Amino acid sequence: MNFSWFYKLGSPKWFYSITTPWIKPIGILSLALIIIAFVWGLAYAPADYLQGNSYRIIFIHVPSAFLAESIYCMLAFCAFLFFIWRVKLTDVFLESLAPIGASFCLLALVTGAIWGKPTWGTWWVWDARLTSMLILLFLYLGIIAFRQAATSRKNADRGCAILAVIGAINIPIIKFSVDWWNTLHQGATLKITGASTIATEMLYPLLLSIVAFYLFFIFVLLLRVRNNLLLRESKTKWVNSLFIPN
Amino acid sequence: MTVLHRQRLYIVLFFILGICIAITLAIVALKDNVNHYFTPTQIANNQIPLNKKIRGGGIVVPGSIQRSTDSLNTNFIISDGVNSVKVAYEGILPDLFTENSASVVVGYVNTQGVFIAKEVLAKHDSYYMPKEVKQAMDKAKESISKQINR
Amino acid sequence: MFFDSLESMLNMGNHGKYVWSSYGVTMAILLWNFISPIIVKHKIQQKSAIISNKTIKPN
Repeated sequence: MNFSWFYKLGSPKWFYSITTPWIKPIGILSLALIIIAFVWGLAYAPADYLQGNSYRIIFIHVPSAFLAESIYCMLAFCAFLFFIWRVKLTDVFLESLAPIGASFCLLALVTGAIWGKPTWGTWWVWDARLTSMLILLFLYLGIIAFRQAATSRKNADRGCAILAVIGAINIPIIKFSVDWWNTLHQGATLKITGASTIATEMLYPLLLSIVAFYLFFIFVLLLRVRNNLLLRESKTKWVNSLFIPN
Repeated sequence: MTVLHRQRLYIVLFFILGICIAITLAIVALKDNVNHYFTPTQIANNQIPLNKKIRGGGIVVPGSIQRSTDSLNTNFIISDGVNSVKVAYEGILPDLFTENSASVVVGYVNTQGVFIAKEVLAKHDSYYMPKEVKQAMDKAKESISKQINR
Repeated sequence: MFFDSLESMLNMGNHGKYVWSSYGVTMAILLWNFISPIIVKHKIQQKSAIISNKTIKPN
């Protein structure tokens, strides 16, 4: 099987030029959607019969938790492709995804803790869900720290790739922890198959917020990837030609 | 796939397999420590470590909450549908603590089989709905059970 | 609007400090995610402006 067309497609120069017109529109759209989703969730959605107004943290906690896990899956996937086949661009994605994923993982943990105090009565418990999310944060930080400590870019890419793939076992543990064990954290509200256990007046702003967060993630990911491409390819003609004043 | 690629694939799969085995062993070794709390059935069957701080979890049985008028003492019963455990607690209860909802209690079981709780947490389910929807649902349930009882 | 007044929206039925601090932390993290690469981009542009000035105007 001839994959040379695929390898050409993955060139840094091609990726940089094809993403250039998309940055601003995606950024503006994601900002608009975030504002709409937040206003909707804070001011227009009804209060919960049990939790009152504290449940409004759901509009930031759920999207950030979803993102923290999805980003790690992408990280592990890129790492897998990079480590085995050295697929182009996977190394720069590997570098760019980690800090974004770490920040959303931290956000999920902090908003979860703040939400836990008025509802459960505690900021933190060492149940399987919370503990595995904390481990996820440590994995992210470990990957970032390894990159800083590595002696060369080659070693950094390879080491981070191995760490990322090995840590991927944590993802199904996070997802199924509330089903496999007794946890304080409740089971899933949003379901892909079957009805979600949330009223529509609350579901719609939540879905909008999830979309807004993912769009924002794509926006900041593109910003980072493009920067890292410029830095990695700084000796090449196409990068230097970008900066020659007319 | 070239030989080099296949070699790298084997290395990765080997490490993944190794980590999976290690984690499975770790989880098996921790066993009940991975569960955040024991169920009333486990407590009733004495499947709990003695003289150690443990957590129990169950549904607060309706009508079992007894609050003392002159102190912060509260007695209640938690159940998992099969067995129940009496709980004695002194302190402030979380807002969401109410009958028919789940609760996690932290403490130890005394010689009379009563759970002396040092901390009470409220657990909530994955359902979110506004007050009006809940009231409509409760009314519907009430009328259905009335019809069944006729 | 679910709330009758600005005051009730800030108070959120006694849960105001929890909700608003969560949204505050969120805005901070979203802002960091946006600003951090922008700063790096500016640094890159500054560095390459220096380099291209050096090559185009020798001496």
